[in-house]
Amino acid sequence: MSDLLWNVGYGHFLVLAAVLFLIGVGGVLIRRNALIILMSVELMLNAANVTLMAFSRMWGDISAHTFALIVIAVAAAEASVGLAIVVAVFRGRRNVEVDRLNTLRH
Amino acid sequence: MDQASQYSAPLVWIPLLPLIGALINLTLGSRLPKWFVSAVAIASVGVAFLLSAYLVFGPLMSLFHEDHGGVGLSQVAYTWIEVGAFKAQLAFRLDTLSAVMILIVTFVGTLIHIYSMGYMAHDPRYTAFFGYLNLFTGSMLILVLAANMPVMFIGWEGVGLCSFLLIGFWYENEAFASAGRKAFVVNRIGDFFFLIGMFLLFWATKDLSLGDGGSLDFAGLKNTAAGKAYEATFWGGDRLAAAAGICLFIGACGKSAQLPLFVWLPDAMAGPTPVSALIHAATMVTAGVYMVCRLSFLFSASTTALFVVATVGLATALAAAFMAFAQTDLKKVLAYSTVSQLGFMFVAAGTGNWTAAIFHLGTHAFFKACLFLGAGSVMHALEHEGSKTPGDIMTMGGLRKRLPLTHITFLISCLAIAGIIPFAGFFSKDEILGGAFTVHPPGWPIWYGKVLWAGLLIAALGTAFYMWRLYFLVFAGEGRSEPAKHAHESPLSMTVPLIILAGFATVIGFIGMPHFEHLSLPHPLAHWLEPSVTHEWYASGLPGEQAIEGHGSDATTAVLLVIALLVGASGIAGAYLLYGRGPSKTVQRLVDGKLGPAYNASKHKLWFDEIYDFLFVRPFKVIARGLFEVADRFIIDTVAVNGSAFVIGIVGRVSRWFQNGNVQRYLVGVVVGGALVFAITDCHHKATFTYKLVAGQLQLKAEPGDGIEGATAKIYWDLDGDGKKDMDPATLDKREVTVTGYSGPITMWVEDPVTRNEVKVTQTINLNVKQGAK
Amino acid sequence: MTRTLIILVAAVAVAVAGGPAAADDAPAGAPCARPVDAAVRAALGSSLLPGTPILCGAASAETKNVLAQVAFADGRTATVEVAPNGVVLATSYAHTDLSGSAGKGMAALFWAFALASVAGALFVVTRRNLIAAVMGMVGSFLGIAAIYMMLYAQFLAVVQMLVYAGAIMVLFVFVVMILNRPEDEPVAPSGRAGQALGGLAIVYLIGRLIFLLIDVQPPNPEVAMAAPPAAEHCVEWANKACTRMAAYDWGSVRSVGTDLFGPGLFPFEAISILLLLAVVGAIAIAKPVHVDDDAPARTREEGAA
Repeated sequence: MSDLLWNVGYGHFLVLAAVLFLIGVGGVLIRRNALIILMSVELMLNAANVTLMAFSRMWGDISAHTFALIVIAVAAAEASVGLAIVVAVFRGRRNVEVDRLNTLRH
Repeated sequence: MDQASQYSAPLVWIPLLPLIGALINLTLGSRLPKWFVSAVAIASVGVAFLLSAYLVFGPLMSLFHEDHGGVGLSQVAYTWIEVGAFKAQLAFRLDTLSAVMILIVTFVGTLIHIYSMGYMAHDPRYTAFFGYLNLFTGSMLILVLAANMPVMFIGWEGVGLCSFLLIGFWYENEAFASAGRKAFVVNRIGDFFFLIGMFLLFWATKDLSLGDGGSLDFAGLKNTAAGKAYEATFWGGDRLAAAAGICLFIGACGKSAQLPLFVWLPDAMAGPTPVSALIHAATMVTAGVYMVCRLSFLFSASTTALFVVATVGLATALAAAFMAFAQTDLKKVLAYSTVSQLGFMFVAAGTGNWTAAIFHLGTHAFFKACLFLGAGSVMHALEHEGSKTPGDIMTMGGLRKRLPLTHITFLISCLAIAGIIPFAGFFSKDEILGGAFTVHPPGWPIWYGKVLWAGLLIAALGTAFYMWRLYFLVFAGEGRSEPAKHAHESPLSMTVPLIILAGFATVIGFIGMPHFEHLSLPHPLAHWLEPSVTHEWYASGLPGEQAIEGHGSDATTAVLLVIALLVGASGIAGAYLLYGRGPSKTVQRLVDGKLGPAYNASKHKLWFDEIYDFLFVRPFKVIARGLFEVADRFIIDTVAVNGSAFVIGIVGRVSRWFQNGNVQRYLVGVVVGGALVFAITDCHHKATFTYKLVAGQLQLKAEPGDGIEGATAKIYWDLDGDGKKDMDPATLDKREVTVTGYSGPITMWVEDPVTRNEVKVTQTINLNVKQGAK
Repeated sequence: MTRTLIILVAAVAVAVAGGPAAADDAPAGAPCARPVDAAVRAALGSSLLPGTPILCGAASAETKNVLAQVAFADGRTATVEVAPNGVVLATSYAHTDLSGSAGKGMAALFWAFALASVAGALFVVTRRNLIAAVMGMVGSFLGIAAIYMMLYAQFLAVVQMLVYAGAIMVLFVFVVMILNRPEDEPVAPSGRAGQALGGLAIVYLIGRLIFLLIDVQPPNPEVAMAAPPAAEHCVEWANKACTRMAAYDWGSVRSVGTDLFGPGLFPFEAISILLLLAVVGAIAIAKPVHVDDDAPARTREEGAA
């Protein structure tokens, strides 16, 4: 037990990433507000980045850092577009609850 | 079939004419005038009679006694069934036996058709009635003219159907319709056994080379080769003939209302009186007797079957006579008397006395038809006067003055049925009694014939008594109700047939004089029937052939004659004493007192209907209801039909949950699926490896475990026994390895690529064991 | 909020305190019995760290096997299961200290920052107040940046703070303000069944993944265990030959830049186009349909770096 606690190895970082990722998934499934859902998606992307960093350290390969940089850039782009959509939707319907955005169904 | 020397005659027209009449009347009758309908009906039967008379008594009469095995005339219409080697043709056969029958059927039939003209004159379904009557006549003629058993069965079924149609003719009345149904159902039971008997006969003859593999032709069945088959042990030591005979006899019981299956006949009185006269007195009920006599060669091969026939006949005769005592409905008394007389006929057949059976059949046809038509006349008269219960004899009386013609004919018929000389019943009944007394079928107890004789005497006594009770209550004394006091005679169309029938009932007896050795009294009927029926017992174990007919001495014959006469007379006397002036107080006292239980039993027909209802009808209804509730309502309706709809509803409801348009719900599916993947692959067992020794080589197979951990594990082998991992690329990370030459314990390492943990398995292999695992 | 914080701290304390007292790892204390010692040295001798004793624990009750602690030359330690007759049965590697320092300080720091990340994530997912959620997110990013630092990814840590916490989260705050309704029902009242099912699946996955991933061992221990290599590059050229070399840190700006503008040039260009698309798209979507002069000014998103 103390071995697990005081000898922090690669597994710990991977577990951290997995936990963050699954918390993000939970947020996407359970929350109703579109903004929170977008933030949960950002959380998932971050978790992926943590995994990338851990494996990059394991293999000593620097190209993963570049990848992570790209991921951050993509996250930014996606966040901006997503928020623009949220704003547009809000303008029309005065609320951003995703379970109420179902008029296309009927 | 017989050889070509027989003469082919237009036999098919005899049944065909009434059938054509039926066709016309049933299809077009409602549009035709009444006189035309009657004319067609009566003419078809009348011409059939004339044709029959011509064929029998005309120029071809000599053919009947030439040695064709009794076949006088025959005709083949066409080949009906041809299956494999079996052939059944629609063929007709007119031999001496069927000649008697067709004459009776057509003659009595014509008279009854004429009678019906008057009786049914006011009925709205007049044309249908005549149509059914013609249909019946045609079917009966097919039955008696049949040359083989399938064709006979056609007629058998046909008369059953017409019986149903005619009994339930006034079907608006629920009870009458039920009576028709009851007749049909009980008949069906008999028909089933008839079929079984027929199949047994087919089975018996199928291996014989009779030209057709298995024959049901009567000619073929009479063959001596077939006789050997009859003797074959069939089941439990009994002969095939016994089994077939008993089955066929049960069929006859259904049609001829013998003891277990007679219950339909009294109820059948619900039909119009001409129906009762024709079907239930003269013709249909005699079909069973005819069938037994037709198959005399079969029955003579099994005295067991004949024993059954005779015993059942006797029991029926006695039971029916008993039941007739307490009846107060005119037609019901006559119905029970019919059943009883049929019992007489079957006793005759059971003793091998075919001639006597046919003789009694003929005489019975005349006097019973006369009795029924007379009853019809009486009831018609009372109805005309407004009686609501025209059949109740307690409301009659004194009708001898009001209906003179009916009275005279009824009287003559009652004398005939009581067996008073010189009327017909005397001769035929005496022949039965004499035959029963003297016959000795091999295999019967020696005294059984005497028992039959005694029983029949008692039945004869009873017959005379209740028939004369009936006569006195109806015609003697004074009228006991208004309709009876004012009744008047029926029209000519009804009384003329009565007179004709009564006339025959008087004289027809003389065709069968008793046999005295010293007086050669002619017995034309016996001589006539001789070629058609068997005269020897077919028992190949006996020395020589034994004749069926027993012979008593002249003295015996004379004494028996006198006894029979006395019995009949005493029956009449007893009835006169008790009922001569109408219902008697003596009887009333006895009934209320000591004879009460017996009277009750008689009135309730020995509770046969109630017993059958309890034993068969109720359980059957319960089963039917149960099947309805369970199989139909529950299994089919609820489970299958509603249930499948319900299941589909559930499935729909469940499926709808997955597709409600909510994206988050879909993501839940994705996540759950992912979790399931992890769960399913999460199984592993301890790593090990197995080995197999094949042709000197050791085949090793690694089993690192299940799930993802097992699938991705790396395997290292140590095959040379040095304890170190072999870095040989041939065995590195291979799941299956082959080793030639074994040099020490074999080790396998299983390494989990993710955690780098290793498990090491070592096994020492015993080369003497062919196949094994750790 | 305070409650959850107290609970978390208590849990950590218990785990830390209970650690050394746990009997899970074999109390390896004594030198091994002769056959065991011989067997282990025979099987693994070449890779063992010379001079380190092999320590054995007590024999297991039902299998009679002994657990021995060995130290390898490449720095890893392992527990080896040995049968009484000396046959080595299984090897399991212990967790290693990634930071390379002997003390427990880095481990504690790891736990602290990991806790911060997870706590922030939980905030995002559970808070009703949108601003609170955003703040939680920022805290989570702080923790993650520190984690990056521990993994020698300095540049990315700073970028994370600048871009994520500095730009993207600010964007989120702007939009929250636009919505003007900072409160939200945390959990949708409809579809509870689906949420319950999803929650169950997630809990199961968390547990399963923890147990799966915690034991991950690097396939190449030398590379993985050592401090990340410093790369050399030429800083002075003379006549197509290098005269002076300089070393720069792994994970520094210079190393990431070298990789980004070298092998990663195409992705770099592609991402710039993507960002342009994103800017244009965002403006197009967020633009009001009817241009209204009296309408209040709309926010314009500030593009990311």
